[in-house]
Amino acid sequence: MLEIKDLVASKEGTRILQGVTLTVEPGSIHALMGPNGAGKSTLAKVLSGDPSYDVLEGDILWNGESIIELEPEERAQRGMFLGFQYPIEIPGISNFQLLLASYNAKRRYAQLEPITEEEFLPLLQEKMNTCRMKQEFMYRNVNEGFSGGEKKRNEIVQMTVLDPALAILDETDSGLDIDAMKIVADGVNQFFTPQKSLLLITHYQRLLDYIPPHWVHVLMDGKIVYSGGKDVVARLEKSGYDWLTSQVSV
Amino acid sequence: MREVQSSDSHVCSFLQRLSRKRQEKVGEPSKKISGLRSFPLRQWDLFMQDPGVFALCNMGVDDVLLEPDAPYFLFRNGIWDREASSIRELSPKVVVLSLEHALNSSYRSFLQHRMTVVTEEENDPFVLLNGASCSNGLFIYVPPGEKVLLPLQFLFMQTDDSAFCVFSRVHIFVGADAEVQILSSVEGGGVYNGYMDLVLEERSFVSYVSYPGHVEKKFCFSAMRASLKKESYLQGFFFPDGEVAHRESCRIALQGERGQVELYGLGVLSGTRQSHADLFVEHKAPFCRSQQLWKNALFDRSKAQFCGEIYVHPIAQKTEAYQMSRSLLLSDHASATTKPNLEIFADDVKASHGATISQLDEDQKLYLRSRGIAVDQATALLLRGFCQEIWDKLPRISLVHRCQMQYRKWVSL
Repeated sequence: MLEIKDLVASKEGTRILQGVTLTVEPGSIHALMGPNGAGKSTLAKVLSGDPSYDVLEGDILWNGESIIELEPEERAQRGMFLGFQYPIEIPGISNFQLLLASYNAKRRYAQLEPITEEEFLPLLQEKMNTCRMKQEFMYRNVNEGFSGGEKKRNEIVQMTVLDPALAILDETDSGLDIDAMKIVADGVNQFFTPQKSLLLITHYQRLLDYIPPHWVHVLMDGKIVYSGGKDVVARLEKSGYDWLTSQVSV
Repeated sequence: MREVQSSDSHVCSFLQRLSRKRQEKVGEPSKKISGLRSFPLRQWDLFMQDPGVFALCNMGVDDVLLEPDAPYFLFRNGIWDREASSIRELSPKVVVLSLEHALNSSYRSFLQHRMTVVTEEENDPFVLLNGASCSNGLFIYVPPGEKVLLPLQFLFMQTDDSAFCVFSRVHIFVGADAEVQILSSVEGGGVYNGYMDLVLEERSFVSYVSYPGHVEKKFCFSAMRASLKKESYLQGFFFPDGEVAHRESCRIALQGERGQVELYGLGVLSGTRQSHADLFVEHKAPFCRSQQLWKNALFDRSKAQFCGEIYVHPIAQKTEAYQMSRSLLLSDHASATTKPNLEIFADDVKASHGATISQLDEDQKLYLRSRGIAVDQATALLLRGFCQEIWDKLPRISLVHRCQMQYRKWVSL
């Protein structure tokens, strides 16, 4: 589904990703961990097509097709979703308006007729129930006045409505209390099927207790320095990143 | 009691005399006058010399009327067309008179006093031009306690090109505890110069909306003068739509304790259109509250100017006064000028002013794009969001629909 090959990327002249290689197959859950400033969020943004980053070398393949030149919306329409670490507030646009526009953009890409507000309403209601979001949030402006937890849950609502093939969740667990984390994890687990993939960027074990990954990758100084199974999470939790620093020359 | 009388051929000589006298002091429109420094006066002069071709309204009243079941006052080519107006639905207690007739009725003393006070303080040459040139107008008296449920609609239609410069004038007196909603729009013409005078007695409420018409006019000069007594409340909404330039001039005096005024403006301008807003809110009594929110989204080579002043007199303790102007520049050639001004002479006041001139937020745009929304649609959505803050405050859903229709025309989406 997703192949990242020797990806080198920079922002404002500073190289942040120094040759990332990673393959994500359908039906797999990948966790990406690493110390602050390692480049985890940069990788997520580069994958989503954020134009403030420059890809200097390497390639990103989506089902075999290079998507380096594609705009963010084209990547989203193909089935890639980025759950933002800091979801953006948009005054004057309701969740309903945003999601209907997004949903119909995806339908148009699939050469399907757009659906009406009336047709979309029950779908959104169902997804909001799944994520235990009150219905009133449908008509509130996107993320405006939301608590940190509500913003993260709202990202999950968007993900479940848009039903992407690959969801990249950038620190979706940060700022969540235990109950909110369970709700988010439930939403993610319900979304996950053998046809879909997840790339979870996180600092903490707790989210991965609820959403067990098949693979755990450690990113340091812009490179994946270690890939292994879920057991690496407990070790990182216990020993931090020092044991890797001593093992790996980065 | 209802009196309806129109004598449009006569001239309100009292008002003309007052206005001409004041004109001598204020002078002709010029760059020296505050609020006109960036107004396209050269284009105005050229237009007055040779108006050329301008759009006329050939639509029927039913096609342009916002609320078909509500009373309406139709002005054709600046003249109140009594026969074509519909005020049957209006309570018989509401008095409707031509201005000329009102100046010869029991309302004479009140009207003359009001005209004198306001005109002697007037510094806007276009408002004085209205007073000096207006052949007639309308006077409406809403008696105390009267809640006018249906909105009063004012429709100004230019249907022939015999006059390229049209003046209209409406004076409304709203009695204590009365409520009224006013909707106003202009259809077609070369120059429209309209004046709305409002007197709000104690605890009365007026909602005034000047909404965009279907047919363009070249220049639009719109003025509101209002006096608010104790605990009265005025809401004003303004949507500039002049093809060359629109000028909105508001002077609001909060005369009694706990009066409230809210002024909202929204312009979405393209081409070389210009919007000029000149607002002056005067706090003359304690515990009053005022709010100004003015927004412009500017495409192409359009320009917007906002001059807003809040003046708090020494007696006006416990004032709350807020002013905000936001401009979105959607082209490298669009420009916005903001001139906020607070003059506060009381020491227990909450007041603020703010101004932003910016482009669309790139982070917001990227967020929408990351959800599959194409860049053009993302821009349109964000612009709609920018407008929504004003639309949400509109008192009638029909107004929201009309404004959104106009918005779609403006942004061609």
